[in-house]
Amino acid sequence: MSEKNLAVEIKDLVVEYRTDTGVVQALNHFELELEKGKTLGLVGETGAGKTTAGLSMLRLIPDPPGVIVGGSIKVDGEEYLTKTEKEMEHIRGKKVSMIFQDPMTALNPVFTVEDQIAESIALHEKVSKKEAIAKAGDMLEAVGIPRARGKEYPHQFSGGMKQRVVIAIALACSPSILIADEPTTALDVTIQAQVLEMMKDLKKKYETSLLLITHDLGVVAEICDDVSVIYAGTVIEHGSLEDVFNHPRHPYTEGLFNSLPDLDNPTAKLKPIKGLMPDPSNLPKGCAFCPRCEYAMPICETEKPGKSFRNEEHYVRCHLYENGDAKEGRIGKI
Amino acid sequence: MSEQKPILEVNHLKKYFKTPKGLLHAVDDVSFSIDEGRTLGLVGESGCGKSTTGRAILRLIEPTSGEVLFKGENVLGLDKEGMRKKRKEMQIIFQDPFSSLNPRKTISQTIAEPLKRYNMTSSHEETRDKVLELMETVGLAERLMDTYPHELDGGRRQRVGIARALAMNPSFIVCDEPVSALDVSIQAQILNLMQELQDKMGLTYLFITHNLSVVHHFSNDIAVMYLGQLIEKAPSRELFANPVHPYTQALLSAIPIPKLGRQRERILLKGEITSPIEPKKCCRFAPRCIHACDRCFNEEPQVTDLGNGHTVSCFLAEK
Amino acid sequence: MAGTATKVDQEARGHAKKDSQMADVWRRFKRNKSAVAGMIVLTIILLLVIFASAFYDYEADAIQQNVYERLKHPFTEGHLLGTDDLGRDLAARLLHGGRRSLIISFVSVGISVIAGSILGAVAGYYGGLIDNVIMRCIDVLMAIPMTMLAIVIVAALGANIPNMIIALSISQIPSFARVMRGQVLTVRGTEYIEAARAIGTNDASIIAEHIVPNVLSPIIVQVAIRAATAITNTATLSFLGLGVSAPTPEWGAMLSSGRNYIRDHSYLTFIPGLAMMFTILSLNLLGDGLRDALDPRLR
Repeated sequence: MSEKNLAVEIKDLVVEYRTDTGVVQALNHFELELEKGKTLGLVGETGAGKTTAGLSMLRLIPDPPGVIVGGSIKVDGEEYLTKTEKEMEHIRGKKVSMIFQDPMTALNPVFTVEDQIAESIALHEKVSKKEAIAKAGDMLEAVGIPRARGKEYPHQFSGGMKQRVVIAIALACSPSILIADEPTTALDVTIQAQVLEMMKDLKKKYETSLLLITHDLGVVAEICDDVSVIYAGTVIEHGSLEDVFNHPRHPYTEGLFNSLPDLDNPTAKLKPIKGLMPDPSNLPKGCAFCPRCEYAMPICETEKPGKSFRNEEHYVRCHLYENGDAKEGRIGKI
Repeated sequence: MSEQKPILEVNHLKKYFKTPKGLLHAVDDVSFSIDEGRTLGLVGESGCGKSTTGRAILRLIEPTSGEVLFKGENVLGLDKEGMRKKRKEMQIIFQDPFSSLNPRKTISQTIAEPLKRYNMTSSHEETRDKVLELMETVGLAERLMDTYPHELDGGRRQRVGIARALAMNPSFIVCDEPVSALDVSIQAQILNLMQELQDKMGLTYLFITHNLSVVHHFSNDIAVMYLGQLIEKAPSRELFANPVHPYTQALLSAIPIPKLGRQRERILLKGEITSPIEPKKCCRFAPRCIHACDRCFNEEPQVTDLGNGHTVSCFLAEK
Repeated sequence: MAGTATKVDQEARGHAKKDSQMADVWRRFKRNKSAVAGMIVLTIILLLVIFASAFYDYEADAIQQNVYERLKHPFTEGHLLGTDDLGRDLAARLLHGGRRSLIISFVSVGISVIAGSILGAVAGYYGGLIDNVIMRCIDVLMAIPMTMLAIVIVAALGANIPNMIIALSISQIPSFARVMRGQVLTVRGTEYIEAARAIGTNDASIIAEHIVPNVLSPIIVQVAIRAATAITNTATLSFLGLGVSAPTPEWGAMLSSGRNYIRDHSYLTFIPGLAMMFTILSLNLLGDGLRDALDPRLR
């Protein structure tokens, strides 16, 4: 097997939010591997720790209350957790960029769009103001906005256009890694389709590795190469798009798919996952999904499951597969 | 299918808002009807006027003109007291379970409010029992009675909103994006609950949403809105199998499908939604339409009936 | 039988819950140390001021002049805080004067919070023309400086305590009206107000049950802060000679008469100033604490 060319490798990352009322375990031995030039979808529900994972890569966790307790985050082989704040400042926006869900609040209303893109270029590259503005114009064209509109202010742009500008800012210094936190959730479907299409093209053009954080499996199917499913701060299943979508193994992953209306069979009754996300300040001792799991066994209550591999890449953290059943699927299910 | 009388008939409903730039045509001449016990899905993108339509029907926003016949009676002609009585039968479930509940009231106080307003119970005990019964109906545990909304998650809050709407035994409920703020696993729970309630109580829903896969699953009929106008309406299956309006086609092709090997030919729309302020008399979709011809820019398309309850407003369909 | 049993049980829990709601507020309040300190200091000040007569006789100690005893420094025999330029016991004047200062400020704040909140709530809830008329009047009121307004009112009606209260109340109405209107506007747009309308709640109940409880906390903070400024304003007016007249003690008036002796007898200004400062500070701390405690979202 050839050595994987990893852009990002996160291992054993533990992040806690310590508040007066208790300690919230946002990430529990979180791990993630993003290959160079590929797109990884990080899928999970509200409170699963997706955004925390994205922010911790840039060391942007609000502190207090957030504390990175341990683990390692390696980007292109460099350890980020031991870097100084000064070094991180050079990394943010230059090497690793992040775009957020809400394009409405991400732009400063008192500067022109062009100036805002130029600012992020000037911050990381030694260029004159004129060159920065020229490059900002190029970026605008790259995201499908006419250069002339750069002189306008954010409020003159619609939601979809603003998200394009945000993407232009993020890509301005051609970062090697882009973290996109729910980039299309706030947009309408037709606009979402446009933006996704554009992101696909740009990723190819700039050879960027993309970490797409989302709750929408439809978007994942559209754009990702690999998928990691996160539940209560732990990746519970990881594999290629094909592995996870066609051979989901973890009961939670399965539940997510069953919760979605099927366009081919619209009258089928939805099978929701029962119950709610566990309280992150009081996680179950064993598998975090155990209280909601249909297949829960006694061992699930007491022990955290390890990884069971279905193939070289596809793994699942579930006790059901610990006897090597991961290849065939669950015995009890049939 | 048997002849059914529509429970709700909306005729030429209009709502214009005054803005400094001119009249904003939020809802412009919308007509549709819903049969008893059925669900009409009203879909469209943000700003197309779907929420305004829902609120105008309940007169939470006073419509500019038009007619809303509920069980044959024009709701828009009712006086204040008449409307208050009518509200018992017409209810609404809101999108945002975080802002639709008063943060200073406990769950039981919120659910009990409609009972109190209409003196539907005669004693404290009766109110309490009725609240408990409603909470059970929507799947809320009894111990949550005295909790405040901020202590609950989105799904449970939405259940409280549903219980409040059900308290008066309505026959018609406007559901304004009831699941779009929820996580998928919770979304499915709420959709199932709403479906069960419909089967059990014979409720009629106007289901407003931007999520097409949900509406396909949930509705008998679907109406598509664009810039304040209803551009296509058909039974769900028919609409998904055979969309006629170019906008509907683009909308359907844009749904991200959580399955592999389903890469359809996607119709990417050009540009963005145009302004609903003082629109010209023409097809409002024309500037973004790939099939647009001169006629589309000069004339307003009329409703064409394609049979089987499928209607569309597009010149393409007239041929 | 079983039915009644559960009913009783429920009833019991119902009552328990009512208590615990207040207990909740108290529990949250208690956690805020500075607010508790503010409350304790304010309570002590209030008690001292209310029971002033128990310590010092008004006529004999606070009004009666005594030339032989004038300008005695604090801790002099028989005079805890010394005496003023006319030989009156400073402690006695401080307590009896505090009575007037506090009554004037609290009553004026009480009047203005009621008037201002009603005006603001009506303006915010109904909007349109009503809003315009009310708020433009408020703007006019705001454009006149407080002291000037008070001078005009007191000059027209005469310098006495009721007139001073009127002057102060009118000058405080705008701030309450503005805060209330702003709050009502935010709350009015929320979906729970729409939900209340959808279930047929009338305007009065919507304002009383849904809007007021949700706008209360900024108003309470505003009351505490305004009560504090009202104390300063009362003092200002008295200092300028527009409030209570000569022998009657009042903190502002005491400051005013003490300033002539500030070089050698600084305690004459220092002590009433300190009393004002403590009252104002404790009011502010209490206000902040109450705001946090009353909000069920902050736990």
